[in-house]
Amino acid sequence: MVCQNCGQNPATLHYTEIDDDQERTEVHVCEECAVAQGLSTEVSLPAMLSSLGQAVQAAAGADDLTCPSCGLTFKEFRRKGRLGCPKDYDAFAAVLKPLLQKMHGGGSEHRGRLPRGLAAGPHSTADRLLLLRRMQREAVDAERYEEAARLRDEIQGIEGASDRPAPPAGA
Amino acid sequence: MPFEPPAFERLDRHGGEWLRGVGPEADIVISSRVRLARNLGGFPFLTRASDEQRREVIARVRPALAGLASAPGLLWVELTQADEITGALLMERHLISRELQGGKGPRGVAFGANEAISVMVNEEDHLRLQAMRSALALDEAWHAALALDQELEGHLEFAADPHWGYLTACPTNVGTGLRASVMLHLPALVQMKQVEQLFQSASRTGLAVRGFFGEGTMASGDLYQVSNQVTLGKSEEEILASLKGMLPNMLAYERRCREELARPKRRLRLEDRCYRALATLKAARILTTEEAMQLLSIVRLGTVTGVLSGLSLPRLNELLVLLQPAHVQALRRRALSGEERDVQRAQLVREALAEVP
Ligand SMILES: [Zn+2]
Ligand SMILES: [Zn+2]
Repeated sequence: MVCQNCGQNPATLHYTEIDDDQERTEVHVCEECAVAQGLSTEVSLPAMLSSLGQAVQAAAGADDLTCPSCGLTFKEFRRKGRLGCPKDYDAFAAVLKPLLQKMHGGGSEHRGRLPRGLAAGPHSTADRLLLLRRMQREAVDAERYEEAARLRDEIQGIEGASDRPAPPAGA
Repeated sequence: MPFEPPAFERLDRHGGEWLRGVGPEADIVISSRVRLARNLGGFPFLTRASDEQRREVIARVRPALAGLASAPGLLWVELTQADEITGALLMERHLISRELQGGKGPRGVAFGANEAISVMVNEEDHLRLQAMRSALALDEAWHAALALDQELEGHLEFAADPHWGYLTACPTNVGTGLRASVMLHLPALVQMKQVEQLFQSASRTGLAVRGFFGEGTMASGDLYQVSNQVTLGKSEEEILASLKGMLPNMLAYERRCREELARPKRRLRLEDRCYRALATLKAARILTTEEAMQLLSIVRLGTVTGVLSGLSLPRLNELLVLLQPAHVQALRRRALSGEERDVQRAQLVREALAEVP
């Protein structure tokens, strides 16, 4: 269902308006229009991204930033509002930090829990797997099946060697 | 322990744990929920994952979900193999989101028999852990979600970073990945046209408020969901505290409006609305979801203000879900057209309210 107001975005907020004569009207609007009309207080990421877009672009070609692990560009992220892999946070850190600060009421440094054992080792294994999975996928898409099979074996080899996260230090 | 196939005979008759209608502030707070967003390290997020990679995520998560002390005996439903009514049924019970139901590619949900825990796999993030409770019980929901999270991290490696916290597909969830929410029934605020005030005061304090409505979801019925917006830069406890801190004001606001509606000069109008709503529910031959929800909302208001007697909150809460489109079809054991559903819904309501004077 498309937003009744802008006719472009998918409608995500649905409600019924009842006027004084008990006349009922169904309303279906997108998040952006809902926020604009004061119907929802949820901050819309796409709305915020587009409003920040120009400022961000001015910041030294931020749109061309590309994640080395998954290949996502910052421009694609701005369009879709979704990141491509965990490494994007580092790849886009310079532009994401101010964005997140605004989005999260000033906070940009994590202060909550972390998985046990996170500090146990560098993330090189996860990073390597991420890259191999991307290469494998691209090989499949290009129908280079021998290469894809070789990459799959390599992924399984790494996973076999470190199947479970390291046990928490001192536990 | 292997997963059992879903037993829908158990699913469609009664509401889950979160609809029990008992607990603190149950006259306003229908349910409390805590959700944690988690992703597996070494995998792309889902917008960049192939179907094969999605299947791989499922293949890693399912064994980890078996035999958990914090969530024993989970049932697994693969959405790609479930029929349309089953998917909608799960959504109407809040076990899965609209996004998971309508999504594409390999994805599924594991949930406990009492529906207090559900784990969506391959929604927006690889995992969405949810704990639900009836009435106001955010701490209980949080502790249940935390226990599940801690147990799972012994089996799965979650993508996280000391500075960013848990890494999520959408930066609105990064950090704790925590979304705590309560579903509120606010009929008096709506009637006194005070909801906008509520929206404004909520947004000033960093909370999000949204209304419910729509095919297959919890339809209107003056139901609102209030949740935290901030997930980064605050600890889980601080996030919960900010939501809990705002709630007493919101609840007091609704109660003041209820008292206002019940004052002598307005009381007759309130009684008139409540008795008419109940009479319509007891007599109607055709009922759309929206009309049923709106009438139930008034009857619920009548019940908590003491205008109506003979109905319990647990029963009313249950009806909010049982009258949704997929539930009507599940109860009748067959797919029904929209018109047939409205006829069956009216009949179900008449049966449910037969004993009510
Ligand atoms: Zn719109
Ligand atoms: Zn990436």
